[in-house]
Amino acid sequence: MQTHSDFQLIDLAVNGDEDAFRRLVERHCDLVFKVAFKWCGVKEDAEDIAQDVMMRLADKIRGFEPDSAAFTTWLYRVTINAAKDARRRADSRRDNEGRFASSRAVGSARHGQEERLVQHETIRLLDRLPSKEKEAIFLIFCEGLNHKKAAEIAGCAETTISWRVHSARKKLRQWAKQ
Amino acid sequence: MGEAMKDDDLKKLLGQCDVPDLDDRAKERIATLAVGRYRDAERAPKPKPEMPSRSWLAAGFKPAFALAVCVVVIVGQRFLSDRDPNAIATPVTDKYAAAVFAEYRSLFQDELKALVAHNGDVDVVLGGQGAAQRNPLVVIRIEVDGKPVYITAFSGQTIEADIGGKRVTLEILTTTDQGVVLASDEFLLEDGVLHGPEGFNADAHVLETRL
Repeated sequence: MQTHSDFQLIDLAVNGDEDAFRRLVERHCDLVFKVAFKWCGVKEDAEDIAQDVMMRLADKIRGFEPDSAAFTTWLYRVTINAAKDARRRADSRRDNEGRFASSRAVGSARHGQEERLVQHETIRLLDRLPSKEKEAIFLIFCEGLNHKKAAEIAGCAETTISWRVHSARKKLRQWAKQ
Repeated sequence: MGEAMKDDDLKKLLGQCDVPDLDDRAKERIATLAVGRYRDAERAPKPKPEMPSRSWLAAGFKPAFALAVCVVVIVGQRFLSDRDPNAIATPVTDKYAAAVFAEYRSLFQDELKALVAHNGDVDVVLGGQGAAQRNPLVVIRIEVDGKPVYITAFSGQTIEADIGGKRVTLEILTTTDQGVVLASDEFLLEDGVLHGPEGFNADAHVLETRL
């Protein structure tokens, strides 16, 4: 099978090539899943988020410019927004059930599924950060992006990302001491 | 978590997270669903371009609506510009913002003058007011060598100031419940203290934020 670049696949998919679209999905599905998992820490939720993002991609692909960098930025942005939405829904569900669990570990125990436990304490610590600060830390330190790219994904100025990282690190430092 | 919480430490720590791979069945399922949606979107009828209406009533409606909007905007601007500057007004007009701005200038200009007279290298340069329509006015007071310096600007605005004999550019990112967030390569407002290069530290806090 001929290997196409993202640029070529997007171009083909924009023009109705179903096979190109499938390959694009298969190529990026794992990235989306991993980003979602690192954000939410729950495998099943991350799969749902990946599916949601790929469905949105199917709706939007025809409006895309064949630009690989912009495509990756879009994927990150949509994935993180979907993860935030999923989190809000989960929180709302917990509220409706009269539970005041602050960590996903408690929420996971509700489902009685061991594998749903948050896999890393640090990620759980990130959950205590305000959403935008968590996003900044996540993009810079989990995903290894530079501030410019993170700013593009978050839709804000580079200096804003720098500030959010600074503020988040300050909070993490305090919590770590506790 | 290390006490230093340096970038490398944090990167290493967060990089340790055990992330599973998306299994093949899930990937196949997602790809199949997405391709199905892609196919549906391809077949979906394209929205028809809106036909221009020939009816006299419809033809007259759009200009009338536009005129009504203009009237509301003009009256609204006039109303806002005549309001008491102490009142909360959103959105504010440039004229209104300028009035509030002038009020702060007059409030602090004596101290500024005295300060400039005392220490010629302290100056505050006020930039444009383009961001005023959506951002609150902020007044920051800092102390340089025990002398107060007031910086007046709008959130989102970049200002230049000579602080401690050094010309710096500060971007006021936003106002928060905790105060004003400043961004600069060399200066950082943290816990009410403006930290700068070469041990420069000054007390800094928000006097007031206003719309």
